[in-house]
Amino acid sequence: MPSIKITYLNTQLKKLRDFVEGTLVPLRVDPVHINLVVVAVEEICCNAIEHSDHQQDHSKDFIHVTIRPHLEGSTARVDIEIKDSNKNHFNLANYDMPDISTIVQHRCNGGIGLILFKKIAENINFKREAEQNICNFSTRVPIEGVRGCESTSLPHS
Amino acid sequence: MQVLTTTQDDFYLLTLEGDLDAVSAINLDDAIESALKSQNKHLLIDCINLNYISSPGIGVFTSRLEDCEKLKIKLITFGLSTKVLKVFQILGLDKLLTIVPTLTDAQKLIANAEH
Repeated sequence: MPSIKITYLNTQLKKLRDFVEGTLVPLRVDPVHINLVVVAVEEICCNAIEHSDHQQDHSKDFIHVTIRPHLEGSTARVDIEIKDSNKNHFNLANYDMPDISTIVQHRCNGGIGLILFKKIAENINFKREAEQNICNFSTRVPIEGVRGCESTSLPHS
Repeated sequence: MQVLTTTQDDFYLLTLEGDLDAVSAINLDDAIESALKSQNKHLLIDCINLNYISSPGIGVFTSRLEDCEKLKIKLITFGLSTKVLKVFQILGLDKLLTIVPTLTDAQKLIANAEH
């Protein structure tokens, strides 16, 4: 199954985006929805990079991303797993989500990525196993040229 | 990502090219900082060649929106691709920011504001 590992550097994000896009383009997923999947994956990885221990040597650590697409007629379900080795465990369920007008008013930009992620992703699960943080989620995306693809549920509110 | 700056009589134009992410967001923030110092009352952001945006890039728009309002500078964004516009729409930012299809539309808004 398609997977990639990146180091804890924001300069790796382009490589990550190219990987997600390169995995979904051959399946003829609608480009707007490919972009949303890219955004969701990048937001979680960006969060892992931002909250990594910057005093710690990460030269031998990686963020692992695995994508499992499942074609289901006019749509595909894309299951995604992201693993990082940060000591701090992040769980979206514990995060108090501000609304966008509050973010604009108070300049608390930190919440934007998580709002985006929550709007795009479904079946979100965060857990810690074997000293790793594991984020699983899925999205349902339309396949181009297949009737009924406009019925996709992504993104949701 | 590249940010190109053009100054016209009635507006300050920033042209974005490439991906606006955690690496490049600072480039846009610096460019807007310079634009705010120019004291031009209209700041236009050309996104025709903006290929991608994630939360750090969006954060520049949201944080600078307040600055523009305080300085009475009209911030107008135009030329967003469908995929970039979708990201703004998901967040509801299409209702908070002034987003128009083309540079001509942006110039019409400026003209209307001046009459």
